[in-house]
Amino acid sequence: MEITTEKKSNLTLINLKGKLDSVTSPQFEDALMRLIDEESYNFIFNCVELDYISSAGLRVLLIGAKKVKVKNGKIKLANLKKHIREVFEIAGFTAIFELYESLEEAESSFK
Amino acid sequence: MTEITSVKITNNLQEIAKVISEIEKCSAEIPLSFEEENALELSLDELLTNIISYGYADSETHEINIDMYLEDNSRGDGNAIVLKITDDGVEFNPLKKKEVNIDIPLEDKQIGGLGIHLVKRLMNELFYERADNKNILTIKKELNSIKEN
Repeated sequence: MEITTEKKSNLTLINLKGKLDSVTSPQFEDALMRLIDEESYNFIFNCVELDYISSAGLRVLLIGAKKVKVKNGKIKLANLKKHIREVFEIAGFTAIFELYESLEEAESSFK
Repeated sequence: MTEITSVKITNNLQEIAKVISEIEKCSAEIPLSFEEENALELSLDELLTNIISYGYADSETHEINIDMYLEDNSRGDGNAIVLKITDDGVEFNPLKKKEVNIDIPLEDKQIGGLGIHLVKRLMNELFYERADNKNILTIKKELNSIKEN
């Protein structure tokens, strides 16, 4: 799992690479919580290189979404692979998260 | 029913990767589509994570067995993968767990329980039994590809 972050003027971009499972999700949770503590509340998670997500990864997304919501922020996702989008659908996450086909679309949705 | 492979791991989350790489190894031979492979890997990951995280009352090392079989699917025109997970942890039937409600707003959404929900949706059949002080969970995934012969 590789997590890189990029702070932009009105949002924070997080690039997720590899697998989000029970072994790697704590690292992702720490990174996300630290950014929220630093008062970042609007996020785009770029999933173009995310190969796998289990409920451990979904759990972090849910905790993050709840935390930023009270600050009127949002977590949006871009470039989900087909099998990951399927997991989102089964978990009911497509109703909570806005999913975009490209980073540009996700970014302009925050304007 | 033909046994394809059998893997033994200990109750450590890092060990799950061994099972996943074994599935990947068998995938081309069976063959599994990318979606089928992901469904099996995700289901095993969820079930093993549950066992390792919550299944033991002590801090000893325990063994978990994963047996993988190939059998005819219910239509008789192809194959199904059967995975049997055996552990000596505390008695736990994941199929008895209350269903999570996924159609609720974010504020009310529960953090836990999603794993078994995913497994139920990704697999065609799940069967639990308790025997010899062991939990035996059998899951089955029917494959899409049609048999060649």
